[in-house]
Amino acid sequence: MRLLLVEDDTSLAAGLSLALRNKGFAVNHVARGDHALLAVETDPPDLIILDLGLPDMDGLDVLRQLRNTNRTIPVLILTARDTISEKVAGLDLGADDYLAKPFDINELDARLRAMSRRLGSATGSILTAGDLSLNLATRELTKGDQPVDLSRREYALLRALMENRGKVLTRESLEGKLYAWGEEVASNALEVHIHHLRRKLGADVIKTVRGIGYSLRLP
Amino acid sequence: MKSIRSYLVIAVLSAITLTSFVAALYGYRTSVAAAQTLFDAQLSDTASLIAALLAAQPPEATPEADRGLTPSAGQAAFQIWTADQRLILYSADAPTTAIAPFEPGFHDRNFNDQRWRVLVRHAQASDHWILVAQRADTRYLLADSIVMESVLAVVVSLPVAALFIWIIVGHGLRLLARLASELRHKKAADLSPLDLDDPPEELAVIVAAVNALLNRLARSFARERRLTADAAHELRTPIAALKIHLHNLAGKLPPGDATLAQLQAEATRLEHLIAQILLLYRMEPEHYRATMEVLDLTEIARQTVANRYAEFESKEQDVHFEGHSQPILGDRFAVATLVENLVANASRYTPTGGRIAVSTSATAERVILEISDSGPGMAESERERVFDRFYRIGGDRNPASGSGLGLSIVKLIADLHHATIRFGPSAFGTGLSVRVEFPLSEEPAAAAPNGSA
Repeated sequence: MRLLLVEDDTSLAAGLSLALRNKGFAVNHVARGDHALLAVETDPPDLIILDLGLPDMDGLDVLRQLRNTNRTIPVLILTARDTISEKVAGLDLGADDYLAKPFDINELDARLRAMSRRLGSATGSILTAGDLSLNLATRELTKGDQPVDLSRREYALLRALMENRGKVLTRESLEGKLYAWGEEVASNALEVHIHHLRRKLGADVIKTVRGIGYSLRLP
Repeated sequence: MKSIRSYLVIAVLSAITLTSFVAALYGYRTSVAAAQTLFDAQLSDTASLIAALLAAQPPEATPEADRGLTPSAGQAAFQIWTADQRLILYSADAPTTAIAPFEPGFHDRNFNDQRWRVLVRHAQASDHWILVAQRADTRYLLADSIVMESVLAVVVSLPVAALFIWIIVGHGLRLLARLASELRHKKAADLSPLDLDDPPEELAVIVAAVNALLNRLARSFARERRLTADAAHELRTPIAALKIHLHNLAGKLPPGDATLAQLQAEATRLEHLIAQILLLYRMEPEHYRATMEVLDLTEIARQTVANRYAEFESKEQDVHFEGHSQPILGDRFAVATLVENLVANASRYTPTGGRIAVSTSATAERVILEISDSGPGMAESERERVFDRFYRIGGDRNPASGSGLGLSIVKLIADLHHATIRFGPSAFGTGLSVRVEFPLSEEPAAAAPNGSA
């Protein structure tokens, strides 16, 4: 995965380049907006990390010019500006995600992978956890070598849990994955689907956090 | 204490009294002068009358025979002398010696133990000397009574005047009282200008001066806070760099390196402190633009607890969550921040293996968020101060202490939502319970669609 890092802070850029290379990205770094646009023109990357406070031009202008030339390259804004209005402005201009400094490198990695999954690229389209492997393109799940059949809602639940491995998802957010807005939710629907998933994958794969929600317990 | 009202009442009354008495004195003097003229004319008339009578019928009688001729109250007297200075007629209270020298004109003389005004006239026709006299005090009596009446009126009306002045001055000063009350009721942090509608000239000057001062203060406070926020903002990129270098360093060191763990903990603390400084700045009423909507407090609280679950687990803390859907009117980000800060505090101050309970409930008027822990609790004396910026429970040396800004932020958000914060003992025996009571949402029907437990 080829990534263009647009960041004027030398120290942060050096550290981040190294960290992202260790995570398997091929990183190209520029420190100016015009250089970024030139780099995209000559050798388009798969992803762009864009800082907004650049020395020669505002990051949002870089984004605007980039989108004007019909580029669909996913852009993640990484900036010290983090108010809601600034986030909205960035997303309105066509950014795909927004992360405020200081950030957690694992969070950045997860966001970049989620973005690349949306691209449908080969590396990003398979989620793994423990011996589970979920293909997002084909919606096929394998446990070890064995394929496992999933219903549409079981797939949605498992995907949400796998994407947020190690985190606790609340009842409300999981129910949101199951049903469209306004659809009536049976009070025990979530429990029923979780029960089915446990029967297929093993009882201790999904942990119940009492009163709060569920969490995927796999390395 | 000096009072403008008392001063004005006393000063105005004194001025009125003084001018009244000066006026009375002047009035007395003119009255006396007028009485003098009046009575002198009367004496002159009497003398003319006597002269006319003498000319018509010259007296022959001896003085003795004519005693009692002139009944008098002892206030007027007369003598008629012949040209060779023989007394031929006199009134009952006149002495038998001449009461004045035989020189025509007015004289002031003493006789019968009194002061008299005497008119001496030579009647040409009958060649007699006519001496008519009138007691001087009668004329002063008249002037006295005229003056006394006007002075009495002033003296009697003084208390009434005092009352009126008291009321009028009070009325005139009521805007001053309003100004004082507005200043008194101003909250410590409120630096908004005074609003006194239509102040009189004299007060407008004071109001303008006070407002200018408030404005200067507000600007300098704002500058100071802005500086803090800007500094915090500028630190975000270096801290991001610090964190990423620590992360890269971690890959080169054996796992579990104690120094690295310390460094990472410090970087996290720095990050947290800076985030809290910025949050505190942004949550101030003049900066935060809240979007109020009907929210499910329970959902937000549950999400917050879920977000921090890894933290609870790392400290082996047992978290209990309880609550049904509770709609409140609030700003999503602000309410989440409030819960986040309270939950983080509970986790921070509760020892490893301790217990934390988060619950939502409602009474007829309020929606209640309660967060209890089995930590050391909070001394009664600290409850007043915990909202102060950079105040840390247990002091700076408490290794568990956070940024010291969390509860200041909580307070700002609670105020934004007209919510109250109460501290109490927790049900765990030791520990603290924080209750945040939100007013009931005005549109409970618009509550979150799923009433999940």
